[in-house]
Amino acid sequence: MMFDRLGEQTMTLATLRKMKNPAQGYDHHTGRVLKAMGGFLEKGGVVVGSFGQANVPGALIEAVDTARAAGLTGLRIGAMHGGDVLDHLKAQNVYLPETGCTINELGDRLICAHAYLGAEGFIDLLDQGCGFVLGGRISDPSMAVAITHDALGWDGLTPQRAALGTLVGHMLQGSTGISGGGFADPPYRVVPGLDRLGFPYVIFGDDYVQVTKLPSAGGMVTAETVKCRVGYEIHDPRSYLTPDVDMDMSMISLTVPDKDLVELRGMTGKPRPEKLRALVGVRKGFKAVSEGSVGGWGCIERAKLIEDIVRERIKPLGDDIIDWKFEIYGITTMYGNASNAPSDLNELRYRAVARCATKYAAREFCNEVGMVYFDRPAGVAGPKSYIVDAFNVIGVPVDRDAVTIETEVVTV
Amino acid sequence: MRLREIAYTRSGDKGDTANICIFPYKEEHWELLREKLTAEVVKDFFSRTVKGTVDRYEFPNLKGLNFVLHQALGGANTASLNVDTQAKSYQSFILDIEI
Repeated sequence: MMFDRLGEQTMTLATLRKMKNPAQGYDHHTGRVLKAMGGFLEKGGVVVGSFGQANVPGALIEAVDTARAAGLTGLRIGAMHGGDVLDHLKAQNVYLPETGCTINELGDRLICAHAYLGAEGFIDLLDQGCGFVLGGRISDPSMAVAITHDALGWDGLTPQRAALGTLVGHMLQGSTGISGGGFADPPYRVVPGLDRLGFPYVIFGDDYVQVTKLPSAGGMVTAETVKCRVGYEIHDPRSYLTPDVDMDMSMISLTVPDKDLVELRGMTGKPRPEKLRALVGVRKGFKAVSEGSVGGWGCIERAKLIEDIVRERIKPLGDDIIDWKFEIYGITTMYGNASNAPSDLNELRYRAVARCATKYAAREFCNEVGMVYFDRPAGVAGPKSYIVDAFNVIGVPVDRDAVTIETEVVTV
Repeated sequence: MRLREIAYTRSGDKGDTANICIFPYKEEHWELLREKLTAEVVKDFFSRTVKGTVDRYEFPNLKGLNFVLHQALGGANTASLNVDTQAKSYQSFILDIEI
């Protein structure tokens, strides 16, 4: 069982949580998942996951405590530490083109930097007989590389072996994204049992991957859902780079041996990239969002009046409003096409959004937009505002020898 | 006709870059898709939201295309002012293209 608990932004969000409370910063579902998997673990099943996020020691404590309380005596829990490259990148003072400055010039705008880790640590922990294995920023498919290494009894990774494991991970890391999630578009694409989608599972050998699901679960695994997964969040299919391999997916072929069973072959591996890749979290101020609704015919004209009022009202905030825009849901928020608006529209919801240099400016922006009942046109209702931390995550190459990992095993 | 009648898609993001893969329902439409749906057509269609270049790649055996759209999400992550900061909705928008 593999649990991918990280998106691109998660390490930064988890680090921000940890800054507020040092006991936080890991996946708070860690104990819950371990408990739910208790029976599976007792039978010798293996569970791996990126539960540690920005606080692997915290996740390990929760896992061990939960396993003890659940009476899973003898269970070996493994943790992979390492991958924080903040100090290394600061020592190198790397230049980040996206920010126009070096990492040290970012000052307190710098949040964190974590390297994507490969399969080695998890392979080591599985070799040590761990049933429950957790890590932080291990790359998503690398968890599957470790599982295939363990399951097929390999004695080390070759590019071709790593390609097999990476394809397994690429198929599974989006959970129900391959078994019907995000796919339905009636009447062209109809997915049965969307209210009870099942997670996919795979059957694999040295040169093939079969994707399927439990017959009792909703959803479907078809040539179409699997093709969409192959092309999900990739760039050049000839070169899918992970810490373990440079995988070529362009010549993959697909067959459908049975209902809800799809087989892939033809992936090939070239040696892994020389360098690892790290993501650097960088603060970009605060994002303020303030919305409201306008009713009755002429609502678009009145929304435009609100936009004009806001433009004037926020002028005193000057450069502290870095960027802002005013949009209308259903018309311009997704693709910016104002000609979408029907002429007889009699209700709308607008969205004013700004990126601000200070939290004060973000609050003031919300206050100015949110004054809907007073100095505004007629028929405005339902104001709602919120402010979030704005940040970017920026990819940088990092030397492999700058990244050290350590494994730790606790027997319950 | 609209692409939605002959093809299906999936989209996602990496930072400020979006990708959309597209496959025809029927193999007979593969060559049509390959001929008509150029990187330029996609760039024009997304011109209001995508500021950078568009690259196109192929899956010769699966018979599909993959488009990579640069500077596609108004910045990236939570710093973007967009509603959809992860290109999740691009998969449906591209199917509005008339070919």
